[in-house]
Amino acid sequence: MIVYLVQKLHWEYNDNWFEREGDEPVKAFESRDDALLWAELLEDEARRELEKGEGVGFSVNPLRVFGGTERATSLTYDELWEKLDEAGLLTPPPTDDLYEQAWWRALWPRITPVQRDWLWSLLDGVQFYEVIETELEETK
Amino acid sequence: MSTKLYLVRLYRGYRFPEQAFSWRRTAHPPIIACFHARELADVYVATHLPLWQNPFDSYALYVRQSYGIEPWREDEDIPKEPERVVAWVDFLAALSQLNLPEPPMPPNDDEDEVQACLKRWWDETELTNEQREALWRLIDPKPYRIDEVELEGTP
Repeated sequence: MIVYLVQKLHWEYNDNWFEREGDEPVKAFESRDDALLWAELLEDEARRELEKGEGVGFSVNPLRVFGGTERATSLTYDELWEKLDEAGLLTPPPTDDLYEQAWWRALWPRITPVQRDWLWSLLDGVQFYEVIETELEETK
Repeated sequence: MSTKLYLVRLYRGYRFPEQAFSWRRTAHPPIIACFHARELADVYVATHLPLWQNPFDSYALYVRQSYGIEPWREDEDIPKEPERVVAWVDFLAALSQLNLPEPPMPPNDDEDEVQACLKRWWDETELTNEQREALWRLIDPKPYRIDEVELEGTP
């Protein structure tokens, strides 16, 4: 029998950025769809906490704390810039670069939930939950 | 209704995280078995020791910190974890009791040297599977992790 595990992915600060450091199973499901739905709910919750700055005190720019574009997304810096620009999220643009905390904090109050989810979908290197499948031994 | 599952994972070594300053176990040990009962997971771990894996195939730090073998316990500069530490002489005595060949004494107390010495000894000594198993039984903690998780959706 195959079971589907929802795992929480731990991130740990390495003095420069957060990197994935271990995982922890949260719940197992017989249905893959149930597991994916559960993981999606938890993923949303984790993103909202990061946006609120839970434990940090301010809304954290994920690009800044998850190791820049080379780690936070599969897009290049220029590709990400272009996509954000096309979506109107760079008006006003950051003073220097996308890693700016000030730009992120100014962006967040005016971003719509749809834009917010779209932006997170671009940050495919920053994931807080995953679903994996494993086989349950027939021993019961 | 929910029931519990027990996941067995196997660590395959250690790594030095980018920008960090300590060795850590591999971050994502693969799940190798999954059981309905904790006892079965414990039995699996006890009967599936990774005989193919050199237990000293990591860095010297773990000879002391993870494998609990302390060559020079009298060195007060080294922080102690008494419940996990086995003195070098005790380690040798345990090997002797199991009729295992004795590793050469490391040339000095440098942890890298100690680790390299033990690693080489394992690689170069033609240990039988029984001897490998006996040696792995001495080593604590085992390179396994057992996680408990609830299974949803059981009718």
